[in-house]
Amino acid sequence: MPRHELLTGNEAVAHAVAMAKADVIGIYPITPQTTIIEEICNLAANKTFSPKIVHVESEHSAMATIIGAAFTGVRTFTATSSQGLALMHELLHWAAGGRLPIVLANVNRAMAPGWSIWTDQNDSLSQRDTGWMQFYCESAQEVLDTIFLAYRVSEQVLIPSMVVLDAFVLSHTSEPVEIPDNETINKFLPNFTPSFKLDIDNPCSFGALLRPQFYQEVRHKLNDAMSEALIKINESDKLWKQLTGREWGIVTEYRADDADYLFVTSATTASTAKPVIDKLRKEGLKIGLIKIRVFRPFPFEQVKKYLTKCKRAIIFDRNISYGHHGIFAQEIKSALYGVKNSPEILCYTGGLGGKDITPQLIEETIIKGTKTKLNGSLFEWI
Amino acid sequence: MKNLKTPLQQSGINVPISGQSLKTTAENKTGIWRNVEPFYLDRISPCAQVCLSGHDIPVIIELVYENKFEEALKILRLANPLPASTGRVCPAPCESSCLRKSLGGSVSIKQIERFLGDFAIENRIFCLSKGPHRGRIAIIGAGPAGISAAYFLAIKGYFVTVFEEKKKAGGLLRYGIPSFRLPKRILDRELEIVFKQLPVEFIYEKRITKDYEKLLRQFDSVIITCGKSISQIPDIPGAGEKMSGLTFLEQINNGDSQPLSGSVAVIGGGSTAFDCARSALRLGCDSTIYYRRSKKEMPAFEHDITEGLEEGIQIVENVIPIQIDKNGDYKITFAKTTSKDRKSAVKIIPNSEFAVTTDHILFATGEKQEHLFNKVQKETGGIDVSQTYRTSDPKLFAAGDVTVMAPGTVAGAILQGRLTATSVHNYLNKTTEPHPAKIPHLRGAKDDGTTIEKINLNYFQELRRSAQKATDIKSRLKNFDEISSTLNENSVAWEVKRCFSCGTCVYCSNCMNYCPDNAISFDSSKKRFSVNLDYCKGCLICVKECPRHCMGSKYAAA
Ligand SMILES: Cc1cc2nc3c(=O)[nH]c(=O)nc-3n(C[C@H](O)[C@H](O)[C@H](O)COP(=O)(O)OP(=O)(O)OC[C@H]3O[C@@H](n4cnc5c(N)ncnc54)[C@H](O)[C@@H]3O)c2cc1C
Ligand code: SF4
Ligand code: SF4
Repeated sequence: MPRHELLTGNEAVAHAVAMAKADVIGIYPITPQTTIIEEICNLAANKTFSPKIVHVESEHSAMATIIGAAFTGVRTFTATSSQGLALMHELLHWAAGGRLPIVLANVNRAMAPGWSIWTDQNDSLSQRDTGWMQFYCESAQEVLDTIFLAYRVSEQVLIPSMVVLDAFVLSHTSEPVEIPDNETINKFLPNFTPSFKLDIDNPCSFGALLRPQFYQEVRHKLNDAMSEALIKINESDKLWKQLTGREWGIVTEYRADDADYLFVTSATTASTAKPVIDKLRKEGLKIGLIKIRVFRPFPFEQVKKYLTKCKRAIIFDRNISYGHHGIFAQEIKSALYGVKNSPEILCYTGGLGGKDITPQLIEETIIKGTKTKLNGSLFEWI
Repeated sequence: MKNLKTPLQQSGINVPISGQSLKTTAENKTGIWRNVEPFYLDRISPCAQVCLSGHDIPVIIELVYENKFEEALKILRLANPLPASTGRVCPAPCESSCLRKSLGGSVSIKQIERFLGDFAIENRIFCLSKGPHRGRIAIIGAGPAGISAAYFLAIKGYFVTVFEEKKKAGGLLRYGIPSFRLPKRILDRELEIVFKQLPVEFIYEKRITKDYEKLLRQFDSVIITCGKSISQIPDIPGAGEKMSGLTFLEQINNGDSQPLSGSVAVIGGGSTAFDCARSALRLGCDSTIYYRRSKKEMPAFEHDITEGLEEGIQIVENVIPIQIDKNGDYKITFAKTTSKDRKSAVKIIPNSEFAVTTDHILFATGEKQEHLFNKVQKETGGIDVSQTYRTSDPKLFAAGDVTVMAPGTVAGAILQGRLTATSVHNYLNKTTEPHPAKIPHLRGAKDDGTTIEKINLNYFQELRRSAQKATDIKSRLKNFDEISSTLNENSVAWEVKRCFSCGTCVYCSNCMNYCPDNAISFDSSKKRFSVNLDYCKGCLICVKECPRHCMGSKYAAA
């Protein structure tokens, strides 16, 4: 029987990691992630699970530690934010190139300088091309469920996963969360049997020199595995629905079917947007919501499917690629290039460094987006 | 869903999903990247380089560290049979050059030696001869040089006869150095464990003079080790033999001293001067030392000066006596001098005379060799010897203070005794046993210098030197009892722990643990590390991380 608890987003991560019985956890504190590893230590101290927790001197070492551990075929975890994730950058490539099913929770925090401890997505999106899967969550329940999904899919396709949650808005806000029982988890997430591992009885080395024909070959395989991941995510989501009644999708829609306008966003901005959609619908505007939950692998098909049905897409990014515009917007536009019935696209960036994204702000953005006369695409700061 | 197949997969070739070797990486000989290569080299430590008797100090310390006292003693005895004595009286240059100095004070090497010497005495660990017995050697004089030569010849299997003019053996250890620095009981017991089981015969109260030539006929070889026995009393009005400081010390050491009262003036600046002044204090006198040069030019050892001053000796520098008058007490007339250094002559300042009255006078203005051995000795000065301690007569050898190479220290005399024994052995066997390597370096260490810059100080923290217990000044002056005590086992353990083992590999395995290419291995039967050059890529992390400079590097051959 599942039980219910009031958990913050960060506590939800910790509980899921404990139930997934991660074996080796490298930890190094950074706000606003720290309460994840604190809670993990509590759970370990209470014997909820018995991981080997390695205290290290930097995020780089935290990742290095679990890469080493993951090569031996055990389940691993670490959590970080912002500069910490940036410091891991080199090793994020190692984890993906080494095809290690590591799971990392990144609590979105704006990059310094100027120092900020508040949320935006530039930290995780800067790691877009490292070969990791990325899941953006909007609630503590989604966070909990996504950690299980991340382990399951990572271990199936041998690609590491980054589960992303917004600083404070999600990481430190308590919500009722349904926690599945262990039997459910065992069904969903069987013990990991690696197809290769570091084994002293059969010595071989990992990460060795690759000549050009082989280098591209393994990169090709990594990219193929990303495509396969989309299928596995979908399958796993179905199984999760069977087991718990919940599904999260790859792209989530809300009142999108008959919409003329679509508000497209990610993470907690999506949940803030729902009542606004309801309000505007009541007022007669045919508006719907699309949330991009899985950012890598990028869900081309799902994006095409929803967006070709509407007249205009209003994309709201909590991130910016300097010299270009919002990153989700870029990706959505590239997915629609040359596609018949592509909608008009408006790109807005706002909420950086924790700037509040309120229902009013979303409403203003939508109104603006529906009224603006369009010449090609448009980018604006909110 | 589209066909997920890479070009190679389509042509039936399946490579792993990430860069993985199919076998071990032994395939990759990373050694070909190397342009420099590391090597192992034990180096003679700074302490051992200056040790007067030539100890392999870090090896001894390592054995003590492992609590193997008897083995440590064995190694000590390879160079010195009298550690309880040298451990008390040696000026210990080893400690002055110890690299630990800057991190809590030098290692108490001398005290470790003393501890091992006392350990041998208390546990009665006798010295044994290897045999086979052959050859008869005569030694003239049972001071440190003679004792050392007798010991090293006897353990090699020679029969040795030592002729000594005094009633007992020890030379200046017995008749010069006072018992508050070296108790006679310690000397007696040390000599007992050294010689009890060795084929050495001591003939006491036998003064050899002209008859040494007879000995040359009776014995296969003769070694002269009779030191410097004559006090040099300056030729000034009123001075005389009965004012000899050396004779004064000998009387006290013989047990026939009288209480003294009033004041004593000791003329001189060496060990003898301080021992005289300090002994006089104990007999009830005030002591003042008058020296012709400045205090920093005194030939006395540092321990003489510091302990002497502690006990209340006065020192008057840059004065020279020119006349002594006796009228009840003594009146000494001094002239003031200027001096530059130990070597150049002092200059008398004209018209600077002043007088001092005193109850007693002792001259400690140096000792010289007696002129006894015409054929090999000039009218004045020591016996002429070669670097191998031979005289012009092939059967006759000489060592210690009696020679022109007079070491002036107990440990130095012991070294010369040892080297002379090897020379005698070589002469008798017509062998060339590597002459007298000064230090019997057990692991073949090279004299390649190790300095504080070469020690990786990151591995060492500051650890304070243990204090040696000494009797308080007031009680010291009541008698001639020894003033300092031997370190206890805990303090010795602390001291050996403080040693860096400069230049001596202690198998800490840092080199092996840090090698990123797994190129270093340890052969436990040979107790050696070695570098597999097939895989060493020349990063030299091992060299850098050796805490104690036992590794080096060189450009690799192309
Ligand atoms: C007062 C004093 C204090 C000293 N303090 C220290 C010190 O603290 N530390 C240190 O390292 N050094 C010290 N020294 C120096 C050290 O004692 C000598 O350098 C050392 O003893 C020399 O050893 P040796 O064997 O050559 O001679 P000696 O020790 O002088 O021994 C010579 C022996 O030969 C015997 N002998 C002499 N002539 C004859 C003969 N014709 N026939 C038979 N036997 C004879 C003598 O009786 C004596 O036993 C001190 C010296 C003096 C005088
Ligand atoms: S003999 Fe003297 S110099 Fe040598 S180790 Fe002993 S105390 Fe040091
Ligand atoms: S630290 Fe040890 S090896 Fe180095 S000089 Fe001092 S006593 Fe000798």
